[in-house]
Amino acid sequence: MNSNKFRWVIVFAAIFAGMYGLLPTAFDMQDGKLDGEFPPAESEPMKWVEEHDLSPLTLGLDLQGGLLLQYHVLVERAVQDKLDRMARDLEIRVLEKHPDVQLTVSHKPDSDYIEVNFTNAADKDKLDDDVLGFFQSLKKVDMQGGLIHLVVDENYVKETKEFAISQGIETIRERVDALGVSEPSITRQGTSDIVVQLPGLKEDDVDRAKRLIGQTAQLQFRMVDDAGTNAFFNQFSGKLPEGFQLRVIGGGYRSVTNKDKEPLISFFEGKVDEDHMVGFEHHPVYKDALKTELDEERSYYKSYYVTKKVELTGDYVQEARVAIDQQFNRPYVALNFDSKGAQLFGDLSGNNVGKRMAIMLDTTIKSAPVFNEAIPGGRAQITMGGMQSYNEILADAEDLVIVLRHGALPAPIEKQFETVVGPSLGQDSIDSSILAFAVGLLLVVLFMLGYYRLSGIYSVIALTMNMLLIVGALAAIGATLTLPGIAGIILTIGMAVDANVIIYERIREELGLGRTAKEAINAGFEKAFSAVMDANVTTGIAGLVLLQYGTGPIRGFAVTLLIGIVSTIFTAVFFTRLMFDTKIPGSAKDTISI
Amino acid sequence: MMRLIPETLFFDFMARVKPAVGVSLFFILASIGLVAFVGLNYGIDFKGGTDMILQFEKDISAEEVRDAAKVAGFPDANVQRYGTDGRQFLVQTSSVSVVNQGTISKVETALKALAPLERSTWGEEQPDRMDLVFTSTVTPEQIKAAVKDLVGDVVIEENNVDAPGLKFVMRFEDLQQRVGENFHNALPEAFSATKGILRLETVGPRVGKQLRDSGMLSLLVSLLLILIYIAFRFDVRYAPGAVVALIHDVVISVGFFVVIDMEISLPIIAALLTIVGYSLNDTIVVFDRIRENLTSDGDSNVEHTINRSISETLSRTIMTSLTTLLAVIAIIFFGGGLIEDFATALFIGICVGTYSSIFIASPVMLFMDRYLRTRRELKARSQSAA
Repeated sequence: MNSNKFRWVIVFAAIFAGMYGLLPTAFDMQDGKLDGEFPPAESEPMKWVEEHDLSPLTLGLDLQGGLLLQYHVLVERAVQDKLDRMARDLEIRVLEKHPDVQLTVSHKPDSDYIEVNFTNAADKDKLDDDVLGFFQSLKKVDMQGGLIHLVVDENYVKETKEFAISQGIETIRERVDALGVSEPSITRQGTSDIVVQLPGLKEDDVDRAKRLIGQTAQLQFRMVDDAGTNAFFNQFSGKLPEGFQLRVIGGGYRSVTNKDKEPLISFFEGKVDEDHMVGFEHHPVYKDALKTELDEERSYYKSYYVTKKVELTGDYVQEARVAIDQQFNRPYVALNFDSKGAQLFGDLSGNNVGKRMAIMLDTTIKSAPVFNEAIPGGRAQITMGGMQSYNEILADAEDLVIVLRHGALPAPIEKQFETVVGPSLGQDSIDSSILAFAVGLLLVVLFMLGYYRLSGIYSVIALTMNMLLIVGALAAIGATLTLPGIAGIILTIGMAVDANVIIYERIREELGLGRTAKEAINAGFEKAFSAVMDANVTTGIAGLVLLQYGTGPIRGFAVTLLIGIVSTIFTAVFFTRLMFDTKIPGSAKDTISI
Repeated sequence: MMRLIPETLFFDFMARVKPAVGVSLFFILASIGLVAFVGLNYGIDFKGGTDMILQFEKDISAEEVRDAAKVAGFPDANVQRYGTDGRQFLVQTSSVSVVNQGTISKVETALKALAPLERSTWGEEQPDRMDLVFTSTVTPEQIKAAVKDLVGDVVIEENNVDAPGLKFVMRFEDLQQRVGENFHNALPEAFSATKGILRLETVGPRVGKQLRDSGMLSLLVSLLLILIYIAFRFDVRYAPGAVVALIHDVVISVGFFVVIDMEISLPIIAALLTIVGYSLNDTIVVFDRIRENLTSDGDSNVEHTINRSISETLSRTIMTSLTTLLAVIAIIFFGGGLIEDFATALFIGICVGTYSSIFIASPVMLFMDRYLRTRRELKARSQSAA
């Protein structure tokens, strides 16, 4: 019976794996609450769990209370708005140069182009490269007569969309960090949705959280207060907590730095006067000379002392792109403002020659270039930092371009779902689903024992192991237990014994045909296997489709259903058979209670 | 040995197909009629709106809650008692924010009285904000005062780089806050603004249609995948029977949903998908046996083989459904309001599915078998004639 031994090894390995998966959850539960916080470690295994950073089963929002928000990033809307604005600006620019030309510039709703119609077809060349230089994202397509279509570049839209979403996630994360929620989850779903889950959020904070998250980050241009910078940062000299440093950064200016941004944000809270604010820029440090591998330990955030007044916003940015300086072969960012923005920017640069301007999203500074001279006409060049390789400058320039473009095309976000669950309802749901689980299990167990006697006990043992494996697997893959998820587990109780029923009924039939116990068992398991398999595969297909389609808690149901199917085949077929084989090794005198 | 069905049972199921098909057809037509003329009761997942579960501190009647909802600004609210303690209510409204087109017009009128308003933009996509452009300067305080009576407290952000005092973003109060405050004001002793809202769920109006479409699509996709799987595992004779049975189950289940006025939400779609996957279990057990018996009996009398197979597997068809129903019943009675509907949908689907695996799937298989056989014979005859 060597093969039996081997199979028992597999069974025990599975039981062990299930218990291993549940170990952190069991520790978490020691204080009676499944809250993701371990009580102080006392025993060796507990210390071991903490050291290896194993996580317990987490409860979904519907079970522990909290806030769930799903946003849709409306990039299409942003593109449409931008085309409207571009059409207006284009007309102004052509008429500035050629006041006598007669033309109409329009953008039809939901189209991806601007229509320029010259009354006199001969005027077509008035839409020259000089004007189009302000609209690099548009491609010129000559149509018949005096008609020209300016089609928006697909890649431009695609890149902006990607950025809008990744930036949206980053911004929300920063804002959420300020709320102090223990395990926030901000994830992207599908192509353009952002899902924010704040479990255990205090009810008083819900309103604040929604306000913070719902705002789109706006690109803002502010001036760095160069004159006040050193005095401001020097006051903290010798008074900085551990982890903070006072450094001299580019241009000889002082700055307080830290490895992370959040400590900096809280450090400066209440230390800045009304007219100023502090912005933060990431300063990467690399492990190697080629600057390929980021040294996370030594990289830091530096702070800037910024004048609060917003000088310009992304709305005025017409276009940004990477260009290469032919003389020095260095990439730089070419930035165009619309006609109104050109005026504002011209004045700003004229009044602030030699000073630093901060390009900001929320409190993050994306770049802080210096005005070398007054820049009239709305075309600015931003050159990137000093001692860098060509590729690095190029990468920096590309990053900044995306930020600027996004500022020119701020995609609004639309709230799709919102769920607020109070903690008391969560507890009620846990209590009632545990009761439903217990009752369901009891009913099925009684039924199986009553109907199949001793063989029923095998099913019950298999069922118990099944539950252990499902919950253990859920914990191990870091799944979240939701209310529909628990419904899925309870449903699995009923469906798991189906496999046993199909097999047992077959064994009964085989016994009825006069076979010995052993023969009947073998025949029963073998002949019923295909039906059991097919039945589970089809349910599995439905589960997979559901996983693909479902949102939020529904996915929890799909996940438990799918895990349940796999563990059901293992426990109800493989494990139950093993119990039969061990109990009834195969002599003709053996009987079976079924 | 306990037996539900006598071991030696042989029942001529196929002889009863005609009445069974009649019954099924009646139910299917009734379901289609119900969906067409009565309509599905879509929940907020599919039509947008807000659901809230409110906890009151004292015993209170649904009528009082309804009146409070009207005062709170939800005249269309549907109020029903919820849970078991008698002090919880489910309040449903189509509002997703504290403002709607009507209040926005009033806000515009009030603002125009304050100063010439060049432009104001408000859309259902972002119902909590309104963009304002004035042609003469105003202060945020003036705006707040002007709209206070209409929409409560608002937050005003100046958008003033080139136009101080002219461009503003107005943010309205949050719906949840409004619910808390207004219910408390209407029923100060019975409702606590901080602890009263047990759950609040808002779905934007435009999302609903997307979800409906993708829900429908997911049902079709899973039916198609299952059809392919069955055709691959068995043969073409079986696949149509399985799928006809599944469509039968889904349609009749949905008809029942209309009859019991069940609210169609995302979990109900999940339940329908589960029904699709699960109701096939019984069908497969029967098909598996038909296939096995056809190998031993030969194709001479398929109808008899089908009858024998259904009879032989009848006890497990009923037993498997029974065990699953036991679990589902436990959820219906003890699982609490939020998953009760889900389990009810499963209950209906499993019952219909068990019936269809006996009276729908196998007859269609028999029909397909005869159809294919006739076609083959016709083909053979025409070939031999030629």
